[in-house]
Amino acid sequence: MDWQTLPSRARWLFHLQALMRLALFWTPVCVFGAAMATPWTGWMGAVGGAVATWLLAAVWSVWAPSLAWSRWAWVVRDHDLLVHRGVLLRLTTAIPLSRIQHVDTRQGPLEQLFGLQRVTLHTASGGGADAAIPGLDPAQAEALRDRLVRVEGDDGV
Amino acid sequence: MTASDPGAEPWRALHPLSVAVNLVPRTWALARGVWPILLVVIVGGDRGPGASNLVDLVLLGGFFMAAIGNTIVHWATLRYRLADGRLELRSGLFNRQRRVFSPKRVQHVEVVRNVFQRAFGLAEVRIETASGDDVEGLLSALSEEEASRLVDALSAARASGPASPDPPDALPLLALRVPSLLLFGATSLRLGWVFVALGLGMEAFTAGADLDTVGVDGLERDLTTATMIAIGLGVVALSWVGGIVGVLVRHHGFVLDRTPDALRLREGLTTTRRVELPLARVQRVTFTASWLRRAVGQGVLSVEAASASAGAGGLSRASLLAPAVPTDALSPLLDVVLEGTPRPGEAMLRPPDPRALRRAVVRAVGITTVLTALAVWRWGLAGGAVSALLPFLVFVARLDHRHQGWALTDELVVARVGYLTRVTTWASLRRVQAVSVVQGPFLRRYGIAEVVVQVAGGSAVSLPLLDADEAWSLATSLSARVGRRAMGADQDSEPSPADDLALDAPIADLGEAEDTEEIG
Repeated sequence: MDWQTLPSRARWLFHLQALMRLALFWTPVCVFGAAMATPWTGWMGAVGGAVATWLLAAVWSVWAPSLAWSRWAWVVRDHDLLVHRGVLLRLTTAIPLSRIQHVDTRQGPLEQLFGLQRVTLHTASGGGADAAIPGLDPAQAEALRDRLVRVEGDDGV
Repeated sequence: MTASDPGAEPWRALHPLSVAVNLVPRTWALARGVWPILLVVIVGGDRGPGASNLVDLVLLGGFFMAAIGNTIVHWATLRYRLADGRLELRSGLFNRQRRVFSPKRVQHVEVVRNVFQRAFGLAEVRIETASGDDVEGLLSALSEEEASRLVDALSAARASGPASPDPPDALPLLALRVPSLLLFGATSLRLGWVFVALGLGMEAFTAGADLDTVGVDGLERDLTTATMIAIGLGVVALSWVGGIVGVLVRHHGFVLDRTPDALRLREGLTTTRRVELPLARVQRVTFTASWLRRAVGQGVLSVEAASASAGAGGLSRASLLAPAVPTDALSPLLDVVLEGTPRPGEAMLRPPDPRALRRAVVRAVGITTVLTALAVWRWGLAGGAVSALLPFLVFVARLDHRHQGWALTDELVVARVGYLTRVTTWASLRRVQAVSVVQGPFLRRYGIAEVVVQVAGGSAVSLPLLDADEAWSLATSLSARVGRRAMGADQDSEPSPADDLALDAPIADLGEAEDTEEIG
């Protein structure tokens, strides 16, 4: 039993997702922020601040995805599943298999482009997903889902 | 009883006065659903010419008609009955729905009486289950006798024994009288007050400064400042007294006792509340005591069970709150709540990692630096006085560190954190949903990590900071143990080889392996 890592295609998926976030989220936010701040700081300060923020976001968007990709790791053990991830904040989640209530596999447009799937695991601990593995090979994702859903036992609620 | 269905009672309706009792809450609920429209109607009415007032009136009138109609239809169509111990509910005019509550799945039964309901001698019964998707087990207006009959019948069905309206051990576990509630209300330390006082103080400063620039002489300025401070103190005193009154009203006549399989709570002056929480569903118990309450020997005990609403928001949780629990009554109460599960004593709690203290001190320095910088920026050099906060923060951090502790037994995970407000948490391993290890950049520098044990409904137990490797092996072995037991494996069996194999690769090694891969 070994830690599984993500296929190398997922790395490029992460990069593309980060660039899209930069283009569709951070760029408008910086423009909007500069527009809002101009009355207080003058246009020089506002534009300077916005450019600095944007550059920070851009550096992060270029640098972080590879790191994030290399940090993702997961393993199904006899009685539980471990998922390890995170660049700044490192997070390891251990979920007893019988506590998994349902498993979603999802394929967005970008993921389709790379032929990858995202597996999301839910337990009764509430809120949204308790762990997710992005960018899995479809066959691998199906196998994982089937393996996890097959488990029966006390769900602890 | 109908002949066709031997175990069933006839269908019953809500009390006719339900229309009167429900009108206000249901109108309110409807208004909350359409508030943007109502807001436009009400606010927009000012601007428009005379004719639009008529439109507004028609719209508002329509809204109230809809609310009244909705309430009448609710009463006219809602029917319930007990059949073989199950509670069946049906309702709806166009959209018929029928819901069956199996007593075994009922997590939580609550009897509530607000002012309207008391005025008419009615009560509301709320039922939550683990599978329902709403708070729809709601019978909003029953006569008092009917409400207690229903609750007793449900709890008897849950115990699947003979119906016994009065449990044999009716001796209360905890009964609170006015003096202890007064003490409880008086010792409530809301951080909010401090902020209110600070905010008003700041207002006083700025008001003084403004007057100064206008050129009012010093005496008047001092007077204004004094007035502002007096008002601030008055607000704090008022909210303190208000808090005490609130506690008395809310918890008046508090009695906690147990039925054969549940905890039962009754309290309240204007709104009486009666809560039942099945002991078998208890997942997390917390005892919270601020330093002031510790000084008077009190704390708040909160018992939590996972419950309902699997719809949009995931699982929620139902809890039962016992205020003003005397410290010496805690242990016997915990024996009942945790059903005799052996608990590690104070002395058996393990300390946090020593490096956690260094991190706490560094954080105190950081907080003081930021606050001082802000104060200097705002008030000039005089703001530097804020740095006097540092010794206090460091002192508190040391005390906190010294009193933190955690323990893991076969049945429970226990954590104790905090000094100003100390929180001790017991969570049942049978209810653990997931375990995570969290490590941010700062924690990584100190080689420590936080373990968070999650139970159902979004609540969790955070352990004190531990050595990163220890945290990791604790989390992974805990989840393996929980999983093994939930799948019905023998509890005493040795960990399977696969569980141990992954333990050989602690998190730090994994990270390094990845890093070298990246370089290569």
